[in-house]
Amino acid sequence: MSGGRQIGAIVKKDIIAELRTKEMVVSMFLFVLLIMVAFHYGFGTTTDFSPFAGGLIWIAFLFTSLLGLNRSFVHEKDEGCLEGLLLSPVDRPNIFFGKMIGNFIFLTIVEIIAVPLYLVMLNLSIRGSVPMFILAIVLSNIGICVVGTLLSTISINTKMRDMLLPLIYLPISSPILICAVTSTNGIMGGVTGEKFAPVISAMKILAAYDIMFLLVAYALYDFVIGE
Amino acid sequence: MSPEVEVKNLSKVFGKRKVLDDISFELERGGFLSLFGPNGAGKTTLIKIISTLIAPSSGEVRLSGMDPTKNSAAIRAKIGLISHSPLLYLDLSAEENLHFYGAMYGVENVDARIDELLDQVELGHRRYDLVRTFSKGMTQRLAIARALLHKPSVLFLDEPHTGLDPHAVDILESLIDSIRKNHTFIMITHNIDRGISLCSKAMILYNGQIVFYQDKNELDIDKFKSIYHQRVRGDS
Amino acid sequence: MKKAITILLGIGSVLLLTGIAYAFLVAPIAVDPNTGKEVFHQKILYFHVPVAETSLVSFILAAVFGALFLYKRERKYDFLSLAAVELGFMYGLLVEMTGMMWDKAAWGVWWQWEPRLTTYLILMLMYSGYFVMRSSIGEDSTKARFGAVYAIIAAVNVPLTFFAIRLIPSIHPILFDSSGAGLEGPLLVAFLVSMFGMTFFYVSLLLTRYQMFGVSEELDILKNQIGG
Repeated sequence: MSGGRQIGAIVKKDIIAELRTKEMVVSMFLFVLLIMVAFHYGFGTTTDFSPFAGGLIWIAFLFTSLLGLNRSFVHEKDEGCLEGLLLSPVDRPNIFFGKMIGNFIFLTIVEIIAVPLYLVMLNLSIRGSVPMFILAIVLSNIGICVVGTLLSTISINTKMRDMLLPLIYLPISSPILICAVTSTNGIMGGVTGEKFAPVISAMKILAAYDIMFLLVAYALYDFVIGE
Repeated sequence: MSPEVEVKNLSKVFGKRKVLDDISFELERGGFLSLFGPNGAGKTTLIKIISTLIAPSSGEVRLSGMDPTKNSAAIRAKIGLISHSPLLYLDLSAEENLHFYGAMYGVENVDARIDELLDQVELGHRRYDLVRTFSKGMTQRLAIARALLHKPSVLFLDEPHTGLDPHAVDILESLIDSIRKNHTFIMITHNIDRGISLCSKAMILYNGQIVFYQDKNELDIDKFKSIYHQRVRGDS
Repeated sequence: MKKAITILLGIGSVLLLTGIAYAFLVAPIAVDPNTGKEVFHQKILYFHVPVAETSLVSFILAAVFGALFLYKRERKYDFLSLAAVELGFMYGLLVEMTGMMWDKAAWGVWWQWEPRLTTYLILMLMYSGYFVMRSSIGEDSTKARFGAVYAIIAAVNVPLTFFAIRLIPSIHPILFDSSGAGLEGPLLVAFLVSMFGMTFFYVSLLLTRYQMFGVSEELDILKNQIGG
């Protein structure tokens, strides 16, 4: 499978470069910490954060993901590498999948460190099922990276470059934010029975979102990355 | 035998601007076209259309008999580009860069091919070093290796001499010389001496139109120079 | 085409005005089934709902024309897609305004985070991004290409946003179904007449805007010729 080899090579290249520079994961991690400190100052020491724990976490992650998504194509655009990539016989959707998987890995690494920190430092806990909590994060991450990779390819090719991405990415990712907050809030609060129904619906919508936009990206990436 | 590159009545319109206007030419296998012209004349657009990156507005293009709008992947597998930007990842080593592009092109026996090329461009001793640490000339030599990795039959050279040190120019020209027979070249350049000495055909583009196009063996160098100076330098 | 536009505009205006006049002058005042009280502000529905539905149709049309552009690469589809986004956006603003009037009349506040209006707020932000994106691209062909892609992405996002927003528990109960279901007799007649009127009116606007793009492009070409 040359498609698998191509996707694998793109992911591997991004990981090697990241291991050398560490700029993406480190800056995303510092950013997530800074947001946490900002929450603390914004809401005071005595605030009980648990009723809106999911909201805090996802506002932080969504804005952090912007940082990484913007960097992801800057590397390709520098030194004309994107042109080099486009000149090769690689299928355009494979470029998309390669970049998307890379973004997913970096975001997930940052979250693996950040979630425990948030739990400890903001005095939060997961009362419900931890596997469900992880599933909600993974489903949201897929959506973030699919839409983010697609839209950052658009923004890098405009005059505004990274200025444009938040303006198009934040409204289009709003279903992710809503569903991620609803599901993680429910799971962290340990709701059961009838109150658990919205958590399930939120995860279903997340799954639908992921599938829909994977299809859209697969169908449209040719037009996004080249004529 | 049909020509390697065939362009017929090619036009490209961006919005209201005609970037290329009714371009026609042919280049046989083993031919070398030197393409001159001021910035914005449409040289890069022409190369991008032949290499499938941009769709033409009208007219026909054939490369080895294939249509870029239909067999784009097959055409891309047959072409290589040496540009003034190296198209290399600075945070990867020389070898990693070639491995990466090897995977993109589906090159077989990629390790042997990389050894061979790194020897040719005299970078064997730096293969594990990051491209970031390379001098401009070394980077450009690696870019040449990258462009030849998949054994393309048509090579595009987009101002390849820009920023090269004399040693890199020597390597570039001896490499071109060694593969001259079974490759076809299209070179964009501002360097008249080099462009004319290498070429089998010379062309000047101006405002998207061909204003000069001759075979080298019947090249009227005075006419070439007068048109070149008038159009490109704006002398009168 | 000009004649067709005039006729559509005429029919649309007459129907729309008739529908609204009928709603105010002939149809009885609706009664809230829960409280048994008369609800005068319900009459905004004869304008609000047709506007909202036309706006959604317009965004869907924008995506369809966008897909046609990507498929056929004819400039007219880009014009149509852009015109549909612009009109959808204008109609969306009207939805927000009339919706806020409803909120004020029904609950005494201008803004409620009511699911439908919140959905429209996000749609407005989403399509604002469309205009910003287009204006930050230099080449017309790229503008059209990215515009088409974005129109499709945004349209796919509309239902997802709508369902996601309904997950958030509303603070206020929905007093009665504002979707227009449950309308009977003269109320239904008034509603349908307005709905058809709005559709004709919309199509005439869309075609007018489309023609304007064509004319302004011709003008640019002529200007270029004069300018040399």
